[in-house]
Amino acid sequence: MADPRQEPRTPYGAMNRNLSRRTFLGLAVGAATSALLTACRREPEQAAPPATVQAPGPTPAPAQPTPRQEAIRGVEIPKFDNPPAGRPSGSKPEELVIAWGVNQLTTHGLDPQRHVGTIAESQLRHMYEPLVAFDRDLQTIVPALATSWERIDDLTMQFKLRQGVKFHNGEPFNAEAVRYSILRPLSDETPGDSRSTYAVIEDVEIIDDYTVNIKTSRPDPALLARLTGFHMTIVAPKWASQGPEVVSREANGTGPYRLVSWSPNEDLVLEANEEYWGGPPQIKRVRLVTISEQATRVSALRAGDVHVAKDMPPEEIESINASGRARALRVVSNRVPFYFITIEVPPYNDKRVRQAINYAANVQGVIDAILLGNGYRIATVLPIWAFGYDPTLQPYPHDPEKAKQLLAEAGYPDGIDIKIWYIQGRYPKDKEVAEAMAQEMAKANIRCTPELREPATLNDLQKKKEAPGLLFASWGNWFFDADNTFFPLFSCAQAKDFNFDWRRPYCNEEFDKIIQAARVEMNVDKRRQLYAEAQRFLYDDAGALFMYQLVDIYGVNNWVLWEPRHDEMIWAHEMKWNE
Amino acid sequence: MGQYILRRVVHAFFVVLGVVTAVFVITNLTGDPVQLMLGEAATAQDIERVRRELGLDRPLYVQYLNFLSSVARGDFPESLRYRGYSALEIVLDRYPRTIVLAIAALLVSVTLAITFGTISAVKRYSAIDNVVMLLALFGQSIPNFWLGIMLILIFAVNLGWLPSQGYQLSPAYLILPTITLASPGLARLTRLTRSGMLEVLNSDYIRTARAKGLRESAVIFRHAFKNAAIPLVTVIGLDFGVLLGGAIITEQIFQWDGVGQLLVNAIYSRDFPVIQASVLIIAVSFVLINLIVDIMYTWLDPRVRLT
Amino acid sequence: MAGERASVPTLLTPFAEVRARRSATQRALRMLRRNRLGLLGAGILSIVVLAAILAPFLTPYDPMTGDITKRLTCPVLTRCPSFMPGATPVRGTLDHPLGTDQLGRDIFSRIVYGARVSLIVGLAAVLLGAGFGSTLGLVSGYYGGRIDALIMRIGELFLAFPYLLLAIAIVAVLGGGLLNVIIVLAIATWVPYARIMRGSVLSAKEQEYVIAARAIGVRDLALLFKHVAPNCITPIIVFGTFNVAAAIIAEAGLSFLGLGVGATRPTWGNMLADGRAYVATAWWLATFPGLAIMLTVLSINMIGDWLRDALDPHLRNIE
Repeated sequence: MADPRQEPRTPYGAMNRNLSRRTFLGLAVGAATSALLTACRREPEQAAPPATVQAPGPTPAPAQPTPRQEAIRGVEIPKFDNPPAGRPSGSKPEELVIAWGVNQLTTHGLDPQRHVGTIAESQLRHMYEPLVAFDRDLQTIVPALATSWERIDDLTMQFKLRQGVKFHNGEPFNAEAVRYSILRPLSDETPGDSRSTYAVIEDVEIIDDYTVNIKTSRPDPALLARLTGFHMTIVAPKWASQGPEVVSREANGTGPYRLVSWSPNEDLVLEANEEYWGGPPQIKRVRLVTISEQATRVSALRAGDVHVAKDMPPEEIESINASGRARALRVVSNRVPFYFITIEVPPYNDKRVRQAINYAANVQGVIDAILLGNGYRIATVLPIWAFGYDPTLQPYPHDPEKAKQLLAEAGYPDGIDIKIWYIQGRYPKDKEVAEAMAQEMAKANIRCTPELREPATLNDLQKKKEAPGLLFASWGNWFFDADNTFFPLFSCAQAKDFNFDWRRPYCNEEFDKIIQAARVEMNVDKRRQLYAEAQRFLYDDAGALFMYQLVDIYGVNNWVLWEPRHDEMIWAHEMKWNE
Repeated sequence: MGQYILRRVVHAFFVVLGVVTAVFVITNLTGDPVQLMLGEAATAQDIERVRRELGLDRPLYVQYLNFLSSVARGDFPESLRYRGYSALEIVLDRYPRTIVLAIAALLVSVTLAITFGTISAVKRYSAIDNVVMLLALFGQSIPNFWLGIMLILIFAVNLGWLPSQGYQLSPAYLILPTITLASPGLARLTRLTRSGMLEVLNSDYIRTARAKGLRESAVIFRHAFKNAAIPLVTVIGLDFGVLLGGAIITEQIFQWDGVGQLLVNAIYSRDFPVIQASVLIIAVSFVLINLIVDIMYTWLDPRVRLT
Repeated sequence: MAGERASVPTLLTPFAEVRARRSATQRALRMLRRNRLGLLGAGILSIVVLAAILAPFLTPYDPMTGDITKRLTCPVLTRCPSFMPGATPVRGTLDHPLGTDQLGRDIFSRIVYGARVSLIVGLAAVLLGAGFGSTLGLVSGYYGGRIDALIMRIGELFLAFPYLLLAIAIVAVLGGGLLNVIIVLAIATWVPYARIMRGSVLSAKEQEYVIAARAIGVRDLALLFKHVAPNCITPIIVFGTFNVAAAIIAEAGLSFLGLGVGATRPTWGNMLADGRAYVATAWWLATFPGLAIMLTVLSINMIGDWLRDALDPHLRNIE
């Protein structure tokens, strides 16, 4: 696959598509009228290509990796020519089965507000909704349980709530429910795992039954985006106040599906909420399952036991499409795998060594060979549609000679010995990518030993401050703003919270000044500039081994019509039976 | 006899206590579960708070005594991974699935092993004996996770005859995991049955029975078999433990959500209470089965000294 | 055959013993010639052992590193599946007779080097387990009483303990690696050796020559090693042979769970575990190491069968 960035850009189109997000942030400055506010919602020419439901075709076309271009923020991202649904085989399934490789409904069960995992989010968002949500383009913020919003001042936003909505147990949705739910994961009794992300929210004032003001402790330019996070979903307040044990075992939201059954040992089974305010979903019964063994997950799809399966291996794309039963659908994903560099310990405390690692790893070569092109190379750790992404920054090229030279300058003419700690089975080809990069780095005298770490051991060793060199990490920025990548992963505040262990090794005061300034900068253009500066700094400082955005590969049964999303969400209410 | 059984029971109790203690010590050596529970975004303060909540900041012996007393009361601590659920509740919920699989595998391997082992012994050095023994040799030499994957590929994916994975209480779902789990034991038992039968068939009393003019089938089934079964019973008792443990890999391949899979996941996430409860349940099953085997043994073979 | 019995040692040792042992050796060789499966097993195993020893001379490529652009090349004489649409179909060549793996490493070279690890793990785990187990069994059987009870109870405890949990715990505490895998497998298998040894010692203790030796004041330890141990060694050898095979499979199982001897080291278990994700797409990744394991284990089991038949026909119950 040709590097998509080599394709000519269309600056005007890019600007147009930028408009929506820029508009809303502009509005966030405070000089907005509610007339303009409605304009920032969906505009036909701004929205991503509509989620066209594919017509059943006689034969599935082969998957073409040739990218069709779609411009977001001036960046061309590859759009895959996914095959249409073929003729479904057998009788129509009684229920839709969706399979993931990892079960995240563990520590907090079904409690939507306290989880941090993306798979849990994808599953629980069937039942729970936030006030506002991102559209499929990950640019436009659209109404969900709030119908409109308005910035009152730098510290306050007002939301008008949707009327006539009921929770699954019959409780009415109103301002009280919003106040209760938004403050719930911030409380000490039921703290969410990502509480720090929302700590800026100070209070929720009830203006009337269907109006609330959300107050922040400092100006927060990203507040609206922040509120799309699934920790900010609205739960039925009377029911939820019975305690976290109840919320983790049952479910009462306003979403398109209601809970049928779940236990730690059983699948999550859902049924359509016929009273859903947006109209009942077409697929009436859904079963969400975990199949951790990859080969088994593929087999289950090909055997027709599972209708939508996440993370199909790239080698299987052809055979899934040829199976006559299912097809493989691809999208560039929001998820960014990368490797932290244990920056405090020699030789990694030398910037040149870190740069040498980035020059030597041959990330694009690894994407092409191991992922069969199914990865989107990026310059740092920020996904392309995140606010603040700087499209002008080019990724480190593969240059082993330059790497050797940098190592020599840093005082290591014979190269260095490092370790790369990786995990296996959570993300596509995580192990092979690590091993392949190690193989490539060796060519530049960075003799790299890959070590598989069982997740638990990884954490223990991280705490002991062993310094392997490279350490696997993966981040799915969940409100598509640079703040949700840089602050949790590369800020001094978080490094302190984590005791500077290797889960958050990066703390650079100069970099910190930039991202802290951007956190409270209400002027959109200035904020964007600050983040551009931050990316350049992090890039030059080689604060991590920068890699790519995943390309998600879904296996989808021909009975199901669906257009996959960029944000890893697999939602049954966006699917239809192919009848 | 009664005294013998009582002594076996007391003895079994101490074995279980030993297992529980060992598990407690080892699980605590392997690391801190709290980080895993809280995930990537948890801060040091969060971790401290939860450690206090769970009593993990107390000295090890206090944790151990608390643990023992709660086990004795049948009131297991809450699972660290599935908050709000007792560890025992979760394990017992899954236990039937593992037992169903282990018993199915045991039945299959015992039935087939006895059938083929006996045929093989009776028709010694015939073509069928050679084939059976060769198959048994192969069965013992194939890693069973490899076998499981091949079975899925052939019978679920290519032929589409059987479901590829998942837990359902129906024969179709049981077939592939059962074959996978049973195969190594089946091969072993077949060989054992054959050699046991051969030995018995060569013994004096069988010759006497034959000399009396009994029909060959009566000789084999009424006389030879009971004696050949004696060593088999012991092996079956031990095998059951192997099956319970071996289920870990089989359950992983077939997504059969039993105790084995629960245990592996609990180990990965350092869910101490669930690890302890699963091991306790597996150990108790194993000890119980072997207690029964011991008692059966005295009944089958009165020569066994009751010591 | 059932009537034959290994010569029963009497007070007329050591001459009788030596003669008995020599005749056992002769009989074993005779049996080997007769037992074609045993011969076949010995043949296969010697090829494997030779390959392991001569690995650097046999392998055209470095088993640890490969060329990612030549990833998943199929074996010679077969047609490579194309994973990219429109790619021209390729055939495997003699460059990589068994193809390349997911990182472009030569599978033949890895299998040859993998023989080293598998054989080392199998042998070392058994030697360690058998050594440890039979020493304990010897002590247990000879001294009896409380020591015996203690050791046997601990043994039962180990048998009631899922060995996988033990393995994961040890690997989690000590980290992975060759030595730890060997230790794990040894710990998991010492009990049967102890039981065999104890049983043999108990019966040997009743023999006249031991009683006599004690009576003339031979020290306990000397007595144990000179007189009792050699008589118990046969069943241990037979059991140990089968256990080498089991240990090789167990190593593969540990790799399956990600607890093997290390990720990049070429071992059959690792290759099989990595290859399992490719059974439907690149069959050769898991097939060849699977075959290598199967053939080696098969040959060891064949030798085990032969040893058992030859050394002691009464040991049929040991597998």
